[in-house]
Amino acid sequence: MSEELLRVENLHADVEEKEILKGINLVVNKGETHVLMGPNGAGKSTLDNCIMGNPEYKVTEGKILFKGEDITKQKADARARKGIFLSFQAPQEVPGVTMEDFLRVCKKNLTGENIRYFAFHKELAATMKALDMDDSYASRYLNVGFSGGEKKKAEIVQMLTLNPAFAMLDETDSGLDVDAVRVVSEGIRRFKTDENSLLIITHNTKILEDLKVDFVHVLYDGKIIRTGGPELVDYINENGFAELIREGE
Amino acid sequence: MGEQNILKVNPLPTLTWNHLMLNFANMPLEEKAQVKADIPAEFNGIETGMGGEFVSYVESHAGSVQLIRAGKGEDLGVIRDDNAGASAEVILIDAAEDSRVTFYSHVSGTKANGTQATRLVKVIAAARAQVTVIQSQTAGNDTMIGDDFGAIIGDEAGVHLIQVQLGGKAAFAGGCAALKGYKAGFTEETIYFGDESRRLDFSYVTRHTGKKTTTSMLASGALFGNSDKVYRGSMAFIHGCSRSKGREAENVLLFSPTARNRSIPLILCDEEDVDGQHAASIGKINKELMYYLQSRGLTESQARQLAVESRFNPVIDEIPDEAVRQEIHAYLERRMNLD
Repeated sequence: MSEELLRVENLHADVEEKEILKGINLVVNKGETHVLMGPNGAGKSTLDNCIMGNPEYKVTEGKILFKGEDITKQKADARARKGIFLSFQAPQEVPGVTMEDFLRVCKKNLTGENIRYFAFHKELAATMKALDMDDSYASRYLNVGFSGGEKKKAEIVQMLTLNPAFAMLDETDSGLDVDAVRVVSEGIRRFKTDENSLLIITHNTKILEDLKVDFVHVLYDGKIIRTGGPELVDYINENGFAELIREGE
Repeated sequence: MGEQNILKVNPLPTLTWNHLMLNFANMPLEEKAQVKADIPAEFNGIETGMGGEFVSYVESHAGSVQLIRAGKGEDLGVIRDDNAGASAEVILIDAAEDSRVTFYSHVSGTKANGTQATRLVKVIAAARAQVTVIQSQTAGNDTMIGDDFGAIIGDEAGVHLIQVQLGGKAAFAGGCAALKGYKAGFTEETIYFGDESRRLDFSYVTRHTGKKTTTSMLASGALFGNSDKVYRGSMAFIHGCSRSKGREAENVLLFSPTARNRSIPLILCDEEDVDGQHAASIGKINKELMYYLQSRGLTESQARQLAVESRFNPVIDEIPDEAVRQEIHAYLERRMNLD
């Protein structure tokens, strides 16, 4: 039997007092890759943010368990230290803190170990090279002056460096050109092992081409209306969401 | 502590805000035996930010002066102040045409020799000279800090002032630039940190008389506890300084409901063809940034510290001494570790 990593039970959540999630149930086991699709405004990013612990999203009912522990009321930093990671759709700029310094502080904080400067520098440079990202970005202030694509790559660099047990990618492929999507996809493939899990939000199935997808969920109006295998991606590519939404209603 | 002198410092160039009592500040300094420094005539009369009473006090107590002369076309590189932490010190920089010099002075908690550390730097920058002056301090809670600066800036010369005010019982600081030459430029960056009951009081003044002169003044700070800060930023565009530009901005983060923050931007304009702007942002760290930092495993306190340091670092990074930079980071970490 697969080892359960994340369990979301009957999750209801409000944003600015408007109910966005209306009873989500989701189980992600260790080693699995899940894809979350759905039309704009369905609640996909809200679900990611609720799992990460964004205080602006209020869970009104249900719970989130991670490695068997109820984390519904925990803060984002506590969840990150347990191994949850979110690649942001719109990453924040952090002027004054270089990407390398930021990641070294975060890694030290997450692992509780002292990080050897040169080993870390070398490892980061290699990671960036694999993502076709100039290593000069490591010494630039995090995300400041980065293009949209560079910011998304920087998020994947963070994921590969911090090596979480469970990573959520919120439209990491949006705003990327074809080559960059391929490079990012390769980065995600490098990250994925039998020991960790992914939840990918995407509108662009190109990013999934090199990945072994286990489950695809379609979210609509705050509920998962269909769960299937990778064949569901092809179906949505050809037919869109309309039919699935009709069936779900 | 012996008897005290109460000096009137950091005066506004013109009296306003009478009801707020912010036209100047009162600074207590020790009454000591006077040992007057011998000031070369060309440095007399240079206006500073903290004003005549402070200048007179420091010049009459310093005993001697450090005189730095950069000859025509000479590059003196970086000069460190070995006397930093003295009760009163005077540094005079005479930069001849086309010369370059950077002077930095750091007062740490262990380097301040007594209950006060005052520094006065005066600069004469001749045509095309480039002068950078850095005054930083992480003094202990029992030390009174006074950091003053004044410069006369010639044709196409540039003067850059950095003040890093992070410690002390109270810190009074100021700067004044007389932009006399054609295309003379002045940039000023201040970062400040207030916690417990620290009092911070600043006054920066630029006087544009040359044509096409430029000023940029930027202050960033963080206030915790019962700290109390006053920032005065004044730009005076004097008749004839056509096509001159001045920008001043202040960003302050408030972390305590009992911290007090007051800012007085002032633009005095006697010339039509100029462009002067000021901006201020007062607030808390934006929620999105806090969440982003916390999502990477940083606690609220660590995220707060990172957000403050991220504002300070571009200025701290300009200090040309790794040991001083490290000491400043360690000091801030210690003061902000609130978890």
